[in-house]
Amino acid sequence: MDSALWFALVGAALAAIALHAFFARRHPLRRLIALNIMGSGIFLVLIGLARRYPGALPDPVPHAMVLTGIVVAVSATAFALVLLRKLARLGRGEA
Amino acid sequence: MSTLGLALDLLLGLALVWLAWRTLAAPTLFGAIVLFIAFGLLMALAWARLDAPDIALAEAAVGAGLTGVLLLAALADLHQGEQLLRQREPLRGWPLQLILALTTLGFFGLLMLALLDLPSPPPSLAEQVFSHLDRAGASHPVTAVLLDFRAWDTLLEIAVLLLAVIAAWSLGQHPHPTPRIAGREVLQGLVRLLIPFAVLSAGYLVWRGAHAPGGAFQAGTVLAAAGILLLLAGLARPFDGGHWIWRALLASGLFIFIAVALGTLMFGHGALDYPDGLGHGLILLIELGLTLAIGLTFVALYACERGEAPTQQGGSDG
Repeated sequence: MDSALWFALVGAALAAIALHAFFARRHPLRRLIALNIMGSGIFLVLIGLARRYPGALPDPVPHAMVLTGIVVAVSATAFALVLLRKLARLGRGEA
Repeated sequence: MSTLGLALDLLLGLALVWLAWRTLAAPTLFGAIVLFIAFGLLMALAWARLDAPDIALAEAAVGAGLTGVLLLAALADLHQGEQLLRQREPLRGWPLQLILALTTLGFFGLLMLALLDLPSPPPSLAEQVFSHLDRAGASHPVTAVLLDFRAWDTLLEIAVLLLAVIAAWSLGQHPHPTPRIAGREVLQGLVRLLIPFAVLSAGYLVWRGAHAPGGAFQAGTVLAAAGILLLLAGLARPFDGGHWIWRALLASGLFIFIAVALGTLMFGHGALDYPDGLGHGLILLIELGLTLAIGLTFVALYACERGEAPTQQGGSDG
C-alpha cells in the first residue's frame, strides 16, 4: 500500500469518526468542530487520490478544489460562530 | 519512497485519527478547541507529505490558526450565557446508539471499499493542466487552475466570503473579547515587531504565488492574523462596519474580479479568458485585490463593531 492510499484511508476514518460525533454530541460548538474534522477527512481523501501516480506530479485540480474548500469551510464556520454568539446573547437576555 | 518516509506517514496517519478522536471526546470545550488546533497543525504536515504545499500553507494559517482563534473567541463569549447552549447529556438509549454506530461503520466501510476499488490508472486532469500551462497566466499549476482555467470557481468563492461577512454583520455586532493579559506591554512590543514581517510575508506569498506555492488565500490569511494580533494587543480598534470605506475595501476583491471578467468579456474572447501576454498582470491584479479583501474579511468575521448603537434599527444600510 502506498502512502497516498494510506492517507486517503485515514481521511475516510476521520470523516467516519467525525460523523459519529456530529450526531452523538449535542453542544453546537462540538458539532461545529466535528463538521470541520469531517471536512478535513474528505479533503485528505481528495488529495490522497490526486497523488496516486507513483512518481509523477500530483493532479493540481483537486488541490485547487481543496484550497477553495478550506476557505469556504472557514467562512461557514465563522458565520456559524456568529450565529452561536447571537444565540448565547439572546440567552442572556441581551439584544 | 524510503522506509523512513513510510514509517512517518504511518505514524502521522495514526496520530491524526487519535487526535481527532481525542478532540471529539474531550471533556471540556476548551480542551477540544486546543486539541483541534493541534489537529490542524498535524494536518498541515500531512499535506506537506502529500506534495501539496499550497494546502499545507493554507491549513497551517486557516485550519490551525484562524479557526482556532475564532473558536476561542466564541467560547469566551459563550461562557457567560449558556442557558440556551447548555450541554445536554449524550445520545440516550442503546437503540439510537446502535443505529448510529452501524451507520458510521457502514459509511466508513463503503468509503474504504470505494477507495480500494478505484480504477488502476486513475483518471486525472493533470496532463491537460500541464500541457496548457505555458499558455496560462501563471506557471504554478495550482495558481493556474485557481485563477485561469477555473477562475469562475474562485470568483464565486470570494463572493461566498463576502456573503459570510454580510450575513454575520446582519446579526448585529459581535465585539471581540478583550483579553486581560498581564504584561500587555510585552505583547504590544512583540506585535509591533511582527507586523512588518507579516505584511512582508503576505506580499511575498502573493508575488511568489504565480510560479511557486503560495497565493492570495495564504497571503490574505497572514494579513488577517496580523490584524487580529493588532486587536488582541489593543493596538487597534475593530473597524467600523458602517463606514463606506471599509465596506468598499471588503467588496474590492470581488469587484476587481468582476471588472476583469467584464473587461475580458468585452475586449477578449470571453469572460476570464485572458488575452495573450496580459494574463500574468491581470492575475496579479486579481490576487492583490483578493489578498486585501480576504484579510479584511477574516478580521471582520472575528470582530465587528458598528458606529451606531447595537440595535435592530439598521436604517438604510440594514
